[in-house]
Amino acid sequence: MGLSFLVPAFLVGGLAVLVPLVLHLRRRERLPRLPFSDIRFLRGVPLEQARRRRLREWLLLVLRVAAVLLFALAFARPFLNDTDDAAFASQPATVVLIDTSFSMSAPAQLAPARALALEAIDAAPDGHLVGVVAFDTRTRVVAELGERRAARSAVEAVTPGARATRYADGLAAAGALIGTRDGRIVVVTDLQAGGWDAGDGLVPPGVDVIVRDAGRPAGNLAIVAVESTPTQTLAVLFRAGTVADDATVSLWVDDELLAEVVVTAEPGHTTVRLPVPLPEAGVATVSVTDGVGYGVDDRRYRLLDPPEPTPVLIVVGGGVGADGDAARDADAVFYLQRALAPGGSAGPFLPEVVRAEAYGAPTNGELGPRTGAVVLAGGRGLGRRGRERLATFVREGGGLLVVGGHAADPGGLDRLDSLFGGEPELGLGAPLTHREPVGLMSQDPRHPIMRGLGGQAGALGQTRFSRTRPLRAGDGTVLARFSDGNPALVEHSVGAGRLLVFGAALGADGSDFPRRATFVPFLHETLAYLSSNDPRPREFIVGDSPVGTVALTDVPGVHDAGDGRRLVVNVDPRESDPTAVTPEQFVAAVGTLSRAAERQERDAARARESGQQLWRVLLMLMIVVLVADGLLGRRVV
Amino acid sequence: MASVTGRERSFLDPAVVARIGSLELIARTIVEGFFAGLHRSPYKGFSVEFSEYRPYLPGDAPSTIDWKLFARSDRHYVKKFEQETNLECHLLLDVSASMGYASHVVSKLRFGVCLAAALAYLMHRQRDAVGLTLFDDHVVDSVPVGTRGGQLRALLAGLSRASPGTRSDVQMPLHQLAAGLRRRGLVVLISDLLDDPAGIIEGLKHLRFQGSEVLVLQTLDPAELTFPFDQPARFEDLETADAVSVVPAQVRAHYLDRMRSLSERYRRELRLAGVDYHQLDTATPFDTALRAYLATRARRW
Repeated sequence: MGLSFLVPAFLVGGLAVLVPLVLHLRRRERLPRLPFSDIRFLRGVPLEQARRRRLREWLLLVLRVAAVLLFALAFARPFLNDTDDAAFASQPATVVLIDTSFSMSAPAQLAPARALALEAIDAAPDGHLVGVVAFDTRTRVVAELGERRAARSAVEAVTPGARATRYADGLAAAGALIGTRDGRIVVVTDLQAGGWDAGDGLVPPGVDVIVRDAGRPAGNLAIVAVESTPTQTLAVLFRAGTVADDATVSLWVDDELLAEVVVTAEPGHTTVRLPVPLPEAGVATVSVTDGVGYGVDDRRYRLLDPPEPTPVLIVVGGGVGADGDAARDADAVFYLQRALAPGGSAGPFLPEVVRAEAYGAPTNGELGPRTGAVVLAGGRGLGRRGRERLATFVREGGGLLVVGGHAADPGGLDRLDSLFGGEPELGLGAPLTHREPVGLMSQDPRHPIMRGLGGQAGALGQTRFSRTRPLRAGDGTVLARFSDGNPALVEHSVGAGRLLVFGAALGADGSDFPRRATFVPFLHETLAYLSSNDPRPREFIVGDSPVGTVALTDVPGVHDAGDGRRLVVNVDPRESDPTAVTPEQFVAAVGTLSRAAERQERDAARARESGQQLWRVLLMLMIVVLVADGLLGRRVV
Repeated sequence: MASVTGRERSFLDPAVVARIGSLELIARTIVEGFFAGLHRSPYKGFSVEFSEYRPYLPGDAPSTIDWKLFARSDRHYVKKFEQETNLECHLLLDVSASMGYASHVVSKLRFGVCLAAALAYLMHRQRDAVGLTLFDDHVVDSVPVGTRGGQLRALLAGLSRASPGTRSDVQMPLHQLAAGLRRRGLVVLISDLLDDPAGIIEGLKHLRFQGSEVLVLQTLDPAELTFPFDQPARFEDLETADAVSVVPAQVRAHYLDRMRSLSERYRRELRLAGVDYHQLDTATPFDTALRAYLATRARRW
């Protein structure tokens, strides 16, 4: 074990030991001279006592020096290091950084790359540790720094995947593996220019970057996009190289060949027109025959299944209310349901109506992850359990639209100000009846709801509301106002979720809003905005994997997500272009990471020191030493 | 014996006396101050003594005629007196380097010089024959015993020349003096006795063996008796120039114990030898020493 220091500059404070040393020596040397008549009796002090005193004086000196040293040591923040680790950390290293993106997967490309990597391992200078890092859009240390044999085995096992190239990540990983050592990074790659798109490469100071060109195929064909029109399917074909040639492009839907065309693929991008439209369901696969380039980009998948409707829960007031309440609730629910699922057909939303008391019932399950948003059209009968459930749903990322209605609701909505513990308050004021109906005006055209409405946002002003409930915005954001100036739509952030409060009913009683052309778009954009936290994309690029689906999204194709849905994974189309930079350009693009390595080591040292906290022990020791010094000093004086 | 008043005592204070320049004046101040406190003359019976009557002869001073006897007998007789100067006093003053030590204004040597001067003055007034010997490891100066008119001045002159010398060897002058004594007398030794006690005691016994009365006035500095030092220091021996670093607190008890042992040894062994021993410190008024002298003299003569 070796001792290292987090702040070694404080060791200079150890020079303060000179103070007790000098004082001790000066005191010994410069005792005042005192003439005396006869020193026989002074000499006669028992020898044992004098020796003991001298011993005490030296012990005092040692204790004082020790106290000063302990103080300086404590401030230098020492920690124990494994000496083997320290020696290991100072040994120079060679890291072979091998490209495993799919641009290395052309026929007869892998073997030369491995040969270059093995050659780099063998050519590592004597005394160098050797490690291997594989990289594409992710980095893997496939052989830690150590013996060459392990590095060779790791290189033999490396195979390219379907991911794209990210030089910056690879260089960073190789630099981290080298740490603060001197050394070099040997990059075995096809020098694909697109690999620099994600950022500049930085390596620690003292590390040389050497590039070994693994070569690239003479050409490559790839399907980089698939679009559908009502009459045909459009595919974008990419050809790498300088020579045009014929290529066969096929369209498959669920293993059924729908169309196949032969086109002359010019260098660059060519739009291929397949004379059939895509169906409304299934998985379309457009492929091209390519015997030279990369294989994984010869197919592109398109999921045709309609998106699943977002479940929307509509909570309406229940129990005994004022006269007309039931009719008004029915009116609101009618228009909401019609707007969200026109004609009962499957739309983007799947409304489900539940009465407030049922929603708050103990037997009712929690709002599942599939619920995109909740519309609270009435709170009567919701109860404490229902309010808590609703608040939890919003705090955990759900979206809630509170529809203010046009009548006092003392048993329901009016009690909801405490829904989130008072922060925020819903701010529902007393119902207002307008002799002159008021319109609705957008306040924030950049807001996703208003932006989604596009030109229809201006048409909101034609809506007429004869009954409204003024809102107190508080800390919320006013997205729309009534023409009398009162807030009409206020947004609040609650935990991870969103809360929108609308200051009027969404039924025909009291307004003509449901009959306006803006009603459905307004409702759709609002609920889409509220349910946008639903993290369920269905198409991915290899490597852009959502949590839990890493294994699936690393392989291009169609996958079952496990919850009944299908996912489509395609390769990154930029990786299909093998255009390369020169080794000199590559090296020139690599910068020096001036302080990152030092910072990394310092962080590690700080973590180690924090875990050991030897300074506490040293300060305790210093206190003990000072106490001993005080006791011994009293005896000496 | 009456006590000494405060005013009179101030003339016996070594610190006061030491500021007086003239040694004769010092001696007179001490002795007169001492006698002023006694209120009766110590000279009575000592100066002259009636011997016989003889008939008046022409040439005799008429003042010597005893007119009372003439009135009774109608004859002229002359009173004849005999001076009582049969006591020889020897003052031995140690002038070794250690006697030069002073922790306050008066050194042991200065104290000894003043004391010797006072004793010489007193002895001279008593018509005693007085001699003086100054010594360290050898006899530095001496004034032979005598009673002539200039004896006191010679004694004081000898004392005024006293200065700290080298190492002390107390027994040497004692043996020398004992060997040279013609008749029994009184020997007064003024010394710090910081020498080999066995040798000193041997020398004093030698004097006693010769029949002399011996008065030892051990003169020490208060600091030698109390060792009041508190700061560590390097103590240097005035006689040998040897030095030792000492933390007083560590050695005080040991030192004082050794000093007490030394004093006790002198006191015990000198008493057995018939030697009067008194320990004085340089802050002690001189009357203590004078009383000791008078007591010793009165006891013997």
